Amino acid sequence: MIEVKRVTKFFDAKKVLDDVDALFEKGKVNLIIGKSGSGKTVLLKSLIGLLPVDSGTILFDGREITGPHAKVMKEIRQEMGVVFQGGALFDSLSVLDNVRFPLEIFSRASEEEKRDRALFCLRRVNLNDVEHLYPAELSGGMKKRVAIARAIVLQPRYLFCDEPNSGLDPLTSVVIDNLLSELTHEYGMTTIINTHDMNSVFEIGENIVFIHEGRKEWEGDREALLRSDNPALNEFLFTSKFNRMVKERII
Amino acid sequence: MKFLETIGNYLLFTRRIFARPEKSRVYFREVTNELEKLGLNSIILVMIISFFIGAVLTLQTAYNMSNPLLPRYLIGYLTRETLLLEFSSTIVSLILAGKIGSNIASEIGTMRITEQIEALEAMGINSVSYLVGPKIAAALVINPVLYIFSVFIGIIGGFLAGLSAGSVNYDDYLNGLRLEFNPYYVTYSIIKTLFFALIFTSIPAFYGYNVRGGALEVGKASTKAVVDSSIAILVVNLILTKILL
Repeated sequence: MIEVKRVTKFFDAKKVLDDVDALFEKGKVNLIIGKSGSGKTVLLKSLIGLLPVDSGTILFDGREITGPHAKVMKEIRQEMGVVFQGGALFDSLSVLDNVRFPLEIFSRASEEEKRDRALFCLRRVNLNDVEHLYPAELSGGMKKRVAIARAIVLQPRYLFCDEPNSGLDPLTSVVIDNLLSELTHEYGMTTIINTHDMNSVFEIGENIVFIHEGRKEWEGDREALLRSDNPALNEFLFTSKFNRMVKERII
Repeated sequence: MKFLETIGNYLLFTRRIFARPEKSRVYFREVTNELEKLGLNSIILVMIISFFIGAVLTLQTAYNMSNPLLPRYLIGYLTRETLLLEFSSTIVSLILAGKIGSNIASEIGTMRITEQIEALEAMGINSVSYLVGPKIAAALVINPVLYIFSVFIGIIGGFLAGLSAGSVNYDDYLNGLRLEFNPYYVTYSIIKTLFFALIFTSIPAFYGYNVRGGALEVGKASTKAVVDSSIAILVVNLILTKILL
C-alpha cells in the first residue's frame, strides 16, 4: 500500500501538484488518470523518487520516503519495478541482459540462477526465443513486455508503469493491460499505472485517481467512475460520443 | 554568469562520477567494454593520422633545411620532438575529443531522452558513476597507450617518407632520433594525456547527461561537447606546459 498525503510540488513558481492525497492499495491495479500536463507523470515520478516533493509525505507500507527519510528510498528501490513509457531498455544490452540487469546489481545468486530467473520472467510475459535480440530489433509491444519482465525480475512489491499502452495498437494494448493485471494479482503487488487510455481504465482499473490541474479531483473504482457527476472527470472521460454512448448503455 | 553556473554544475557532476559504485564487478566489466569501445576502436584512426603527420613533418622539415650548414640529423630530431611534445599528446587528444567526445555525448544524450537514465536511477543506481566512471577509467588507461603508439607510428611514417623522398638517410634520421633525448618529455606528455582523457570524456558526458528535449538537442549537445572539450584541452595544455616545463 502506498499513501500520498498532502503532496505539493513546484517547478519554479508553477505549482504542478497541489496538496494531493491518494491511497494506492496492495494487490490492486491502481490507475492515475488525467489530461496531458495535469501532473500525473510528476506524481508518478515523485512516487518513484525521481522527483523530490516540496511538501507532504509519501509512505510505502508505512515507510516514509519524503523529507529527511529519503534514505529509506534506497532499500525500497529494490522492492519496486518501473515500466517507462518507451520501455527504456538499454540499447547496448541484449534482451536477456536487460532483464538480468537488476539481478546483476542487487542479487547474489549464481550466474546460472540469474539467467534462469531472467528467462522465466521473459516466458511469463509470453516472450520466447528473443533473449539474444537487441531492443532495436523488437516491436513496440515486445519492448513493453521486455520492460515488464525487467520490472518484475526482482519480484517487486510495487510496480509503476508510465503510460504502458502509448504507441501500441488496440490489440497489443489489451494484451499489455491484461498482463499487468494478471501479474498484480499473481504477485500481490501494489501496481500504479499512469494512463489516459480509456480502455485501460474500464478494463483493468480497480482503484482510480483522477488528477486535474495538479489537484486530485476524484478517487474511486470503475463503478463509481461511471456514475460520477464530477464535471472535470466527465469532461475528460466522456467527451467522445462513443464513450458517452457506452456510459448510457451501462448505466 | 551562465558560464560560472555551467562550471559549477560540471563540478557537481564530476563529484558524482567518483562516488562508490553499487557493484564493483559490474563496474569493472563496463570498464573493459569501454576500453574496447573507446580505445581499440580509435587505434586505427590514431595510426593513420600519426603515420601521415610524421611523414609530412619530416618532409616539411627537410624542405625548410636547404642550408647545407644545417646537419641532416636535425630532421629526425625535430620530427621526434614535435611528435613527443605536442602532436601525439595534444593533437591526438583533440582528434579523440571529436571522435570519442561526440560519441559519448550522443550516447548519454540518447539515453537521457529515451528514459534509460531514469530507469537506472529508479533502480537505485548512481547513473553518473555507472555511465561515466567506466568511460573515464578506460580513457585514462588508453590515452597514454595511444600516445606512445602515436609517437612510434609517427616516427616510422617520417622515416619512410624521408627515405623514399631522398630527404634523409637511415643513419642521419636515427642519429636525430637519439640526439639529446630527454625522458622527462615523455613523462610530461603522459601527464598531459591523463588530463586530456579526463576532459574529453567528462565534458561530453556532462553535456549528454543534461540533454533536455529530443534528437535535435542531442545533436546540439554533441557539437557543444566537442567544441568545449577542445577548448578545455588547449587551455589545460597551456597551463600544464607552463607548470611542467
